[in-house]
Amino acid sequence: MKRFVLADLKVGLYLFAVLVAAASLGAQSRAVTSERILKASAEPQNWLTYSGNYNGQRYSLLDQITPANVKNLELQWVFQVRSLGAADKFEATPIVNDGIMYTVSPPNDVVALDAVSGRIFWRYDYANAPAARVCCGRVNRGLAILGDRLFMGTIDGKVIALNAKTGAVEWTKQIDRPEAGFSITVAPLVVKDKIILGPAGGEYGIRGYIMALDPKDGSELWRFWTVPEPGQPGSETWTGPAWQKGGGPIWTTGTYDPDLNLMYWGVGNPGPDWNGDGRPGDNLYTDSVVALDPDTGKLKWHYQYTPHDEFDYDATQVPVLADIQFPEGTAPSRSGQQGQARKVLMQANRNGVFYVIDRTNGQFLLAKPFTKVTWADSWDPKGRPHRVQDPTQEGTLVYPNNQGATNWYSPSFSPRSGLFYIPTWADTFSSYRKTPGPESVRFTEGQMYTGQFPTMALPAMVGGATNNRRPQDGYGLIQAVDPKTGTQRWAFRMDDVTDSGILTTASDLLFAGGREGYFFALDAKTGALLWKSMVGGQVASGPMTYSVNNKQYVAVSAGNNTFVYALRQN
Amino acid sequence: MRIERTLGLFAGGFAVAVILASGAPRAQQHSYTQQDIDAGHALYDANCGRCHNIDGAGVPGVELFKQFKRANSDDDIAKLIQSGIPGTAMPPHQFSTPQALTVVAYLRSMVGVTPASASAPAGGGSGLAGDAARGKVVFEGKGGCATCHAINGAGGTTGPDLGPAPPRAGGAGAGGRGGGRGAAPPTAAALERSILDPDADVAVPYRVFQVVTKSGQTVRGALLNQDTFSVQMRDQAGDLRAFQKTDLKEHGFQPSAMPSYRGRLAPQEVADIVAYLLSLRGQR
Repeated sequence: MKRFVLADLKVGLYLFAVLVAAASLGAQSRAVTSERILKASAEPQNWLTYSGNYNGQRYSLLDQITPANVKNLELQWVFQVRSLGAADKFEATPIVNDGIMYTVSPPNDVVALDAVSGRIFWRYDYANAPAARVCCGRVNRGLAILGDRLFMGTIDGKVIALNAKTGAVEWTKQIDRPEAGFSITVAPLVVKDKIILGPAGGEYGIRGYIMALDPKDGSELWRFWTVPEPGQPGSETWTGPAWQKGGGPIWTTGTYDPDLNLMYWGVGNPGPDWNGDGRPGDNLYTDSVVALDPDTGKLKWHYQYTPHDEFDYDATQVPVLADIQFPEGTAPSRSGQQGQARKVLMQANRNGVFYVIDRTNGQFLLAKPFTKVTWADSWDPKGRPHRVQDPTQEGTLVYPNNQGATNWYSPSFSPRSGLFYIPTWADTFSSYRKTPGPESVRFTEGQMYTGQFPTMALPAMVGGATNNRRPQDGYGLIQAVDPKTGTQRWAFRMDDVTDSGILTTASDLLFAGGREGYFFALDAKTGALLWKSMVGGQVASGPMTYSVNNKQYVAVSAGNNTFVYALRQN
Repeated sequence: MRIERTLGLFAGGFAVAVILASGAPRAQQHSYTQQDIDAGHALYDANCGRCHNIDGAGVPGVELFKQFKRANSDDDIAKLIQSGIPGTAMPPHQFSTPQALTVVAYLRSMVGVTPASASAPAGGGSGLAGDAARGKVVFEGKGGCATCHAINGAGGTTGPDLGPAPPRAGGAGAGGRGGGRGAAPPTAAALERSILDPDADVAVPYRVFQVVTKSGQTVRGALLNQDTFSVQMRDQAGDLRAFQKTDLKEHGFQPSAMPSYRGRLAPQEVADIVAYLLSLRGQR
């Protein structure tokens, strides 16, 4: 009996050891259920959506890397991309599920990597149709995952579902016609049992939409047109047939509040971009945030940041969700329930203004420029801007420039610091010109439908190898703004601008980069530089973090590579 | 628009300036009218500027104002514009061949013009009517402009040549601000500002960068590159120099060598010089 017990104990210990080994080494990755995505903050070791969480905060609870030890970060591995051209950028944020990283090598190759070693499990190479056309580089911002499937939009207007274990194509769905300028660059958003996305193409006279696909076979479940047809609400903001080519593209991933069951998506520019003479009116829902029911696609409310835009100020920046307690006596506090945190949506807009909106009903709470802004000088109580500039034949000098004071680069909000962090193109300007009259912009399918390109002192798409510009041509900032007031709390200044997203962590670290090729860590409370690494190419992606076997990693794509860092092992 | 399928010169002798300035053999097949160039300019602005920038320098390694890597003859460039370059960011364009050739005409007209990104646009100005003949007298006499500026090679070399071809970049002198290649030629107001406030927009080749190290050494030269932490420059002896900003007491661009003529010349004299410089381009 005694011997038997000992043997049993041995077997038990052996089984325990096997289980421990399985848990830490070579563990199987689990299928990603919508429930797991909903509770993503319960598993901070993973990064299951574009922004890491439905609230778009790009804030991680991982705290192994701290302000005190961040100086010990060292490179763990590099993934080199083979597909980038001179004008392309590596914009994807990877997905990490239980030690496996999935990312998109531009424009539409997918790879599954061992998140510890960087070695490749499988890759899927996709050849886009020659008809594919994109305004601003052959980019892709990432994948969505649900179950054992990955979902990717392509620049030739498809959505492709891949088996996450094998890379095999499960289904392909042609969403729209690439020869008409439709492309898909956004990382789709999974909400419940639906894949949500929309097309880019705002420079080609498309009519945009947000749509839900069935993850099983790609069939369309609902569609919300970002430019309403005659008779629909919002159509009164258009004149004549302009709505048919009215733009309103979707190219940055939205956010979701499960309690309110509302999704929030930023909508892009009206078409043509720089001459609105053929589209009199506010041109809803371009340059707006729209709150949609994910089950039906029905609009709950909208807020338009830039009515009748002629400056290409797409509002596609990530709408970040948080609950904020405003100081008593302030306007947002008075309009809400006294002493209670408000459910807000924050957006640092391409038009240079930081906005806070009540996300339950779209009520305007606050607008404050976060850099030099000249196109508007005030906002009425409902949040309508008082616009003071328009393009002219000889050129109107407008701040910020056409690329915007910020753009699709992910911002971050840290619930710990209470600060909102904005990648900023500071004090940039463009001269906007137009030949008056709608007839000066002609539409030909597949050709750009924009009007005259504004002047820019900075390269719009890809940073140059060198920078000998003057400070007055513009510069870059990572800046922290207090969302209660919109005032700047600190700013980290860079000589060049930045296309980098921002990651914050529960240890009060902030990770970001810029066109100069530095990837760096700042103190999220003060903006002090704590660590930097020269990665030799512009950071044009959002950094993210994950953990495997209790070791925290930080990943960023820059230039032609993804770089992954962790603390040096002593 | 009209495309003449014959070899020849641009209207106004533009082709001569283009070919000489490029310094490289270029297989231009067609001659183009200014109308063609203007039509191509409009197509370029609407379709190409977003990536290539208004000055043709927006895509690293692709310098439209210098030469074309993948095609040389007009027809080949036009085909490339129409078909795009598979596997790159260059998309196909649904231009007719005559349309594509106007874009080629415009690209050809860019060649040899000093690159400069767009700056502040024109606007304002005294509104005084100038007299070009009087302006020439002031330019060469009282203003002393010719001491530093040449007109088509005749005159000083300290500042930019203000003749009709180069430069269209912002000038230490009156070369004009208001845009780089592809932008409209300088307006009267822009020229006037360059004379009255020359420091506002110095052309890149005429910018002087200076660093002062913490040990007291001063180095001047051309700024080649910079970032948040470091500076790379070519000093006045022609040597390449790099500095960490933590080692520097100060660094930055020096004021323009050109003095402001505000108060030195009467507003009418400034207007006359502006009229003279515009007349060199056949403008009023």
